[in-house]
Amino acid sequence: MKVIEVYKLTKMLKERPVLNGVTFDVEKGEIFGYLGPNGAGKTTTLRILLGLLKPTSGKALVFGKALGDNEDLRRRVGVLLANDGLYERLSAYENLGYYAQLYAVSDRDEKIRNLLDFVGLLDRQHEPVGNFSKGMKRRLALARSMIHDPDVLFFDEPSAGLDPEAQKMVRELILRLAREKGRTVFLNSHNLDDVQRVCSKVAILQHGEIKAYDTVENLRRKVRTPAVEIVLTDDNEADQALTLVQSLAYVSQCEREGVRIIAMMEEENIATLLSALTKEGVKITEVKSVTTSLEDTYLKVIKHAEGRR
Amino acid sequence: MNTMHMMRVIARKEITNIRRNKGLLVAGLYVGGLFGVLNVLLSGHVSAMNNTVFSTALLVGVFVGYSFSGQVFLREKREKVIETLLCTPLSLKAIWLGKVVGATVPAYLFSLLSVSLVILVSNRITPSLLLPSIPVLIHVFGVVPVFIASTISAIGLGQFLLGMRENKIMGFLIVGLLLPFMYPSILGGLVRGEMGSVVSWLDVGSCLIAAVLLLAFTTYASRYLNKEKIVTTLLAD
Repeated sequence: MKVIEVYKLTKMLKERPVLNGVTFDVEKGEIFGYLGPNGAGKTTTLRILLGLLKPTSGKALVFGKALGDNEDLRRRVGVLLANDGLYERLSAYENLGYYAQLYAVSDRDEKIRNLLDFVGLLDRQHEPVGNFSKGMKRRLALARSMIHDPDVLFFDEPSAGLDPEAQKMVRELILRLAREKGRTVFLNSHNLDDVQRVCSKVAILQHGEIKAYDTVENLRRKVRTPAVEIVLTDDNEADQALTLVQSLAYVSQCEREGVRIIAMMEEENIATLLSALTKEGVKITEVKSVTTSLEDTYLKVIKHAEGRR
Repeated sequence: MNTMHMMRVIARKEITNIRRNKGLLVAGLYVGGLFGVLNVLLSGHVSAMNNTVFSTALLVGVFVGYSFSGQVFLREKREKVIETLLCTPLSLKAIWLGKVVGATVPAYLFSLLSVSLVILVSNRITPSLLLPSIPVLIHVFGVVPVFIASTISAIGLGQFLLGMRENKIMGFLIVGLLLPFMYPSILGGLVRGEMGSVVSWLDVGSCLIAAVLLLAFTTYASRYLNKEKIVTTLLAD
């Protein structure tokens, strides 16, 4: 079941195209990563999905409808925007209480306390939010986005300003929301490590256009450059080893960093490479194939798209 | 969802927010208190009390209401908190009206405070008991809250619709328009007091008509209010 559908979405702001034919969809229970450099149009897409902006053309639907005109549907959506959206003069409890009333949440007190406990702010529930650190505000805003137990959550940089421990908490929370509760999560993020760990599918946006859209694994496979890392035992043998590796027909490119040599080649040729090196008396500590991270994938997609402009 | 209930929730939050903003409260007390007392002392004529109450209630309410609307509408927009609120199941109209009520109630309380001060000080400087006339009482308890609410709804609408730069210009214009009115109103009270004129039903009716016309204009202009307008003006600066 498709929870989010974006089809040929175009948006002009001040006669400038911000989005140009963006198409993707997100299935129920999926964690979808929406990536792209600053100014790519990620937040504009999010704002259109949330009904804050109207599309110039195309569709941006949540549960098959546009959120903008549908007050009841908005009750099924939780939001954490780049701005925390908290009231600094109200306490943490009052902030959650306010939104709990706006979403007509039942058992307010219990839910608020549970959420405050979950984000580690129960002992500071009566303090004005203005006294909180950036990380604490972010955690409270995260709790606020879940106060009405929404079916779909839109997170814009949820771990921005959080320490590593809190970032881990956010990741675990997102995974739990999707795996245990079947919630759908739309994650707008720059944190590629987070996205790689939690997202099942990603789209990479640049200059208002989708440049890549697939599962994380498929994307990594698509842009992968096969490479092998050879760690030598003796630094004195590095130059000799480099010359030898460079001379091999199946190695397209090769570079050296201290005792490490990175050879662009298919994994299947590792055995031949090893025998060639040992034949020349080069001592080897380790040989392993180099994996492509989401960061490598992202940078390659962006660079490739930049080159085509 | 019950719109009236949601409006009350928003209004209550706005009142709490204003109540906790010491700077705003001090400014309100300064304008309400000082202006009320000054008005009586400068006019010096106890017969001018009705005139002073008439103008003080209006001007203090509008002036304090303007500063409260800055907290309720503009600040929330400038700090982009409004975006999260716009994602809730509330209609834009319910949000706007809730905020208008939230700013009007405390502004009206400050207006009543200044009126009380005018009556108290007037009675301190005269041996006989002075009470406001019936038209003035109707004005204070009937017309003034409507006038304050219609002014705040118009200002709030402008603050939602305009960009930050335009809002600054609007702020200068409002203060620039109010201040020259405040001091001549003291002199006006003095002159009218000397002439022995009293606040008439016509004065009260004129104020009510002005408030209703402003409300009608704001209601008409509110059709241009939409989420995109708020969000794009928020992004503009």
